[in-house]
Amino acid sequence: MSVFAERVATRGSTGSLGGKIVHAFLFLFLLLIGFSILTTVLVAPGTSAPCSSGQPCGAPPSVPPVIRQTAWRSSQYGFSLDYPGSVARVSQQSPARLVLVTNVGGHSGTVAIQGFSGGTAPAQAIADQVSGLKGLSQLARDSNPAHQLLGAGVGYLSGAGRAYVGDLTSPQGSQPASLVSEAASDGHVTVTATVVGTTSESGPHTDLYALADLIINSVQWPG
Amino acid sequence: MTTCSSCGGQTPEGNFCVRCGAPLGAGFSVRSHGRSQFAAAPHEHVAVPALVSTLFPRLPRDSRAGFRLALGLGTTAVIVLAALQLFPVALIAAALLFPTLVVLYFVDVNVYEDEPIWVIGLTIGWGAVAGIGFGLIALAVEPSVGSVIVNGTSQYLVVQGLVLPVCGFFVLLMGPLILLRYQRFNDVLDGVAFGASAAAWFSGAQAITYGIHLIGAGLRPGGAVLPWIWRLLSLAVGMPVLTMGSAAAACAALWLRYRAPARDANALGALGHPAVALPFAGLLVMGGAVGETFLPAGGWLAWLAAFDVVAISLLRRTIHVGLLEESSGNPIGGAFTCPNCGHLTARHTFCGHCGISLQALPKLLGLTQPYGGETGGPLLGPSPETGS
Repeated sequence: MSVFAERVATRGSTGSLGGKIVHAFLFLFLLLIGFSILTTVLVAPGTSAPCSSGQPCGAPPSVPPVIRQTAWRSSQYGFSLDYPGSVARVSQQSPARLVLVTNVGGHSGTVAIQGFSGGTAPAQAIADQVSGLKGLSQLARDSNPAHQLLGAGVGYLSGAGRAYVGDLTSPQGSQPASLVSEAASDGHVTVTATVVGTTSESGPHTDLYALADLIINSVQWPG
Repeated sequence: MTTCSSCGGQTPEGNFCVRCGAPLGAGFSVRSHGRSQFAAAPHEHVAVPALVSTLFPRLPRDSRAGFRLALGLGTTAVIVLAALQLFPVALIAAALLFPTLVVLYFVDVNVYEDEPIWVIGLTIGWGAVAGIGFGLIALAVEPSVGSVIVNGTSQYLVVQGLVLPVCGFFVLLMGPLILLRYQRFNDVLDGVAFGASAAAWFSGAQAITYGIHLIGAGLRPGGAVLPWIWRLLSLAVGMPVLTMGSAAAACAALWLRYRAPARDANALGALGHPAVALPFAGLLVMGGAVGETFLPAGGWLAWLAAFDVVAISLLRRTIHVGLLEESSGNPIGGAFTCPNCGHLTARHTFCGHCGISLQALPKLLGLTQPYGGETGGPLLGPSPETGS
């Protein structure tokens, strides 16, 4: 036992902030949160009014010049499509699936086309294809009304459409990504088309979506 | 007065030797760093990887409670913001949680020693600039969306998972290393504070820079809440703690070897030698980061937690041994009230009652410099160095 043990003094905080550490932290942290809310609101993209199906909605999207059309055919399901080889290249393919990597004006994106058997409902085909995509984290349905697909379809056949948001994550942080998927069926085969890009480079009036529309509309059904 | 069975010096009777910090009870005769009480927080076991007392070792006991509460509140705020789907705000809050605590720590314990501007510049400022730089590099070299969708997150393995983390780690150490040459920052806890603060700001600045597109996507850009919470916890706590612990351990090894007046610079073994400590710390950071490239969000958080335990344990051991090896040949001074335990003790290197190193107390108390003014005091006899 210490010879000093009986001479106990009052113990107290000895830092310069004394007992105000939590107050100082809350003040600073709430200030930072307030500042970040303000910054996020100020730099947020302007809200666009949702379009109505079948009604004109803004100017038509710009379409990249088609220099060379390349044909691709699914050997398993028989459907075919065209894509402009000058701005899209095949990244992966199988008898039922084609993945194109696009690069328009330095902005990259991905268009994935996949066939399913005719018994697969378009909504189910979308869910299957999206769940099979790699590299996306925090994936969820996009609830923004302005981002919903109107009149979704493939190869001029009506079908289902879904919009999603997710993130491309690395150890350094996150990059938001947007994903839209459409599917349609002719009764014998169901075809899905999914477009993925970073949120800053995708959207209804971007080159990526315009290019994807070209490819999706070019789908020729078998027979 | 009694003779310490560990160092052989004369010390006032009490629980610990005021010279070497060894317990004075019967049966303890080995080197003082073999004791189980953590030298910077004697009420904690040295083997317990407690976060606050290890990353902020100069905090007095009462301040530690405040820091723990602040850390808990900050983490809760991040989770609540994520649950409200305010992901960009939650990301900024996560990135700035530890940097805010570091600023409060610096203010609370006066690490700067009256020369704040250039010390801030070489620790916090350098960490922030390096973090922004590496965030921009990561954006510039990231794989295309197409290759990630086709090949998965393995596309991030080499550059984002291995090269950038280890390069960033060694670049962030350059600021604190400049401070190594200044005599006034001469104890192992200075190195710990400089390394940890630079690392905290590096991690925060990098996460915000890399997530700049998320901040520009609106207040509620959408996404699955639970994976977001795991990910934000990784960015708020998991990765900063790993980087801070590793950087602080590397700096502590450097300070212990080249600056602190240690009795035995080899007391830490191989991990105390900078040639081993620096690469090992870099490997820890790299190992923690690379888990993100092949694990889901929750898995990466668990992975980081395991690496955090290793980094914090290593840092804690380095601090413990460093503080207990810091020698002082000065005579024992007069009695004062220990700010940690509130008991009177003789002024030298350790509190004779609780065993805390006086180096681990805030500098503003003026107790952290080796005592050398007085000789003797109440109940004190001559020191062995000065003879009888």
